[in-house]
This record gives sequence, structure tokens and C-alpha cells, in this order.
Amino acid sequence: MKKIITRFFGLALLVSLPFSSKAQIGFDSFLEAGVEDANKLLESYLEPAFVGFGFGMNSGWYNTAKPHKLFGFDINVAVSVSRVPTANEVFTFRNSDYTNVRLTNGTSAELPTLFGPNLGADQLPELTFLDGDGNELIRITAPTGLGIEEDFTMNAVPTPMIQAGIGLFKGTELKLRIIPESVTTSTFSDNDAFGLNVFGIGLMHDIKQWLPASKLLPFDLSVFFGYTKLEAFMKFDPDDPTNNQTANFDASAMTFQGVISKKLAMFTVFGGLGYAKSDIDFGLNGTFETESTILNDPIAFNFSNSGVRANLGLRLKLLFLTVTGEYAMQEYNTLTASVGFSFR
Amino acid sequence: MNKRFFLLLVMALLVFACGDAGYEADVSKTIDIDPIAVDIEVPALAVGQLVPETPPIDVNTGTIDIGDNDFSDYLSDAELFTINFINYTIDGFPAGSSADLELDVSISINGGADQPLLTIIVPDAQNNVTDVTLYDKNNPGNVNQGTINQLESAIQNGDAFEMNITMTGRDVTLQTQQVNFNLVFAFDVTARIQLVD
Repeated sequence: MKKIITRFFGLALLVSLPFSSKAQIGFDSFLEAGVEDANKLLESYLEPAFVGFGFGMNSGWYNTAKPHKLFGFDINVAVSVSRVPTANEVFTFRNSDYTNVRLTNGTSAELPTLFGPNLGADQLPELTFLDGDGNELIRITAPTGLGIEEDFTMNAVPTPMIQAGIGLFKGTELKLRIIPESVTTSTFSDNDAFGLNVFGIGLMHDIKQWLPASKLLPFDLSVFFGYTKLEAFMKFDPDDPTNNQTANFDASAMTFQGVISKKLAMFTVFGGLGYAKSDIDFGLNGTFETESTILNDPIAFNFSNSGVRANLGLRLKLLFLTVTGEYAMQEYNTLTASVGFSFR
Repeated sequence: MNKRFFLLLVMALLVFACGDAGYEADVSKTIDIDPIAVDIEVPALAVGQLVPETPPIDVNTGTIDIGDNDFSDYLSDAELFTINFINYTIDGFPAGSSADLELDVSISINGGADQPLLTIIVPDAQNNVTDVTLYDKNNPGNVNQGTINQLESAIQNGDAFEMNITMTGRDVTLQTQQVNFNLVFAFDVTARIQLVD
């Protein structure tokens, strides 16, 4: 059996930690417990990370309801942090929900999610993994959370984004989010070990112009539609050409909103109300060998979320420099901060 | 470093920090040692008779390398190893014969000198006892804790060891001149792996 646990505990966690010099506890042992159990456990553990990411992807699209004038443009870098609700910091593990994994002691327990409390091994319940015949294979403490709240005031999933907008005709603005895969693979990756491809498109249209007596209305009013797609992959062992194991992450998010804003000297107050949806697929693909079998593409699950999105923000504009803060009320309330340049 | 960037960009699951506990996991396994074949013999005249004590016989487990064999994936990153318990099972003691067995168990690490572990009496070996606790970390009894500590260090260092057992039969009644059975030891071991300090 190859290395155990952590690849499982979230590519997220594992690749973000200095794991090259530390133990990689692979997730192979979880696969020993069966694909179904491994999917269920991993899905529960990672859910807040992925759901939060989906909420973040729908943030930071705009900082005013007034589209650029023709060929006016802006470039923005934004980071959104989606607060993980307290209830999602843990999940309930019940022996009855699993076939080949069970708590070593007890029948159910609250286990941390990735965004749950950071607990030591002595504080974490132990899971026992069984083979198909019910024999114990291995016992491993449940994965800990990152304990982000211990060091930061907000337990949140961050989503960075870069985008540009350009004014078109008739009060219409086109917004684009593009990071080509070739850029990420060449910048960050040896042997194409990982790659990221982002494409997003947004359209804002001034609807105030179509209203009667629009010039008398003391605010700007637009509708906005935005769609973002992010695809990413990571090879588990890029130095081994025979290893075809990869992690794949595909996320898409869409929002449709009415946007209103009011400019007050160098400040612009803006707000939006509408609908948002996100859809995230995560998979571990390739061939994984366990003690008893060979599995192909063993992990695949999906998180979808949709609902009302209401947001309120404030933009400060100093000549061309813009600094924006935005708060969106939704299942995972999301705070976005951005900085950029805006012309016309 | 590249992979960190990957995560930051790809999944945006920035790991700002781990809490005070770092990121650690305990990985535990119960490892069955190969059975030790034991032969007890009494003079022909003593067959069917109660023999107060048989001559001591020495058996050993052969080389055991738990660190390198069973925890090799974790060895370089394990903070410590803990022996949770040591069990034994007696298997194949023939019905009709009976004996109490005195086991004097010692450990030799890397071919070094024997270090005493414990001495116990197994009553009624003919009942083929299963998974009897020899040592329990929560209730160590009269086990030589120093030897346990050295054993845990040996596992962490990837050192091999042997268990040497001197076995003496007491109150022995054999229905044949020679009796063969197996003695099976099992170690339950936990490796604590600290991924982030």
C-alpha cells in the first residue's frame, strides 16, 4: 500500500502545506475502505471549502451600477472571503452511513471539516478502515480542520480573481476574467504538474436610460449577468511518467442581478439583488492501486448551490485608482476587497 | 512552492495557518508476527502423567521489523511510535493434554543483548487462548517499561528486533510424548505523524 492519508485530506490542505519535506499521508487507505466510503468521507470533509469557493466566484464583479463610457475600461484584482457558517465547521460521521469505515469507539461523532477546528491527534476520533471481509486494515485519526479562526477573526474560504471591464455602446459594459492555462503551467509548474484555466464573462447594461424621466433619478441602475468557469488539475507525481493520477477541479458560477449605485464625491455606494448559482466538480482521476484491487478514477463528486444574493458595497475612487469593499449576504456571507484602475 | 501556488490559485483554499496543534495524525496498525512453532516433550514414561515442570526451551520470533515493513511510508516523518498493546494467542495445543506455560520474554534489538520484557504464566494452554493481552500501555502491569521504550525507539529508527522466549511447562500432562503448537504474538502500534509544526 502506498502512502496513506493526506492526499485525501484535501488536495487543498496537502498541497498547500510544505508537504514535500513532511509526511504525505496518502488517501490510499481510504480507498481500501471502498470507493463509495472514500467519496462520502472526502465530500463531507471538503464541502465548505468548495461551496465557499463557489460563493466567492460570484463576487467582485462590479463596484458601480454605471457602466463605462465607450472604450472606458478598468482592471481589478479582488479577493473574496466566504465565511463558513459555524454549522459547516463539523460534519456528523455515523457508522451506519458507511460500509467499511467506522469509528473505533462509538457509533457517531462530530468530525471537523477542512474549515473546522484544528485539533491534535489526541482530540480527534479514530476511524477504523476495514477490508471487504470486515477485517481491520488500519486505524487513522479523523482529519483535522485547519483552525483558521484561531489565527484570523474570520473562518472563510478565499477566492482570488482578476478581471477587466470595457465600455461598449448604449451603456453596456463587457467584463472578462481570463487566466489561460498556458500561463499557469509555464509560470508555476514543472512538467505541467498543474494548470489553471479561468474564463469569465460579464455584461452590465444601464437600464436607467430606458426608464421615463431617467435623468431625474438620482442614482444609476443596471442589470448584470456574470459567468465564471475555472478548471484546474494537478498531477500527483509529475516526476513519474507512469503515474497518471491527477486531481481535477472544475467550477462554474453564474449570477444575475439588478445593481444600483449612487456616487457621492469620491465615494460610490452600490448594492445588488438577484440570483446566484455555483456548480463545482471535484475528481481524483487515474489508476489507484489498493491492497485488493485497482481502481480507476475513484473519486468524483459535485457541489451545487443556488439562491438569492444581495450585496452592498462602497468604492473609493482617487483619480484612476479604485479601492472597493463589498459584503454579500447569502448562505456563506462573502466579503470582497478589490483594488484596481478605472478610466472613463 | 509551486504546488502551494497551485492551490492558492486553483482551489483558493489558502491555508493561512494551522492552529497550535499543527497538522498531525495517528496511524495505527495491529501487526501479527509469524507464528512460533513450539514443541514440548516429556519422557515416554511421563506420558499421561502429571509432570510438575518441563525443562525450559528457548524459542524466538525471528527478525521483526515493524518500522521498515509496516510503517515504512511514515517512518521518516513519524514523531514517535507507541506500542499500544502486545497480544498473544496459543493455537493448536492438542486437546487432552494440558499445561500451564511460563513465558519469560526478552527483546534483542539489532542483535544486541537480551533485555527483559516480562515473565508471565499462561494457565491452561490447552484452552487455546486467543488475543490475550501481554502488555497494555494503559495498564502496563509488571512489564519492563524501559524495554518498551527501547522497543518504540527501535521501531522509530527502523531497527529490527527479536523476541526471545524461554518457555517452561508447569503441571504438564501430555497424552503424547511430544506436543506441537503455535505461539502467535501481535503488536498494536501507533505512529504519530506531524505534518506541520
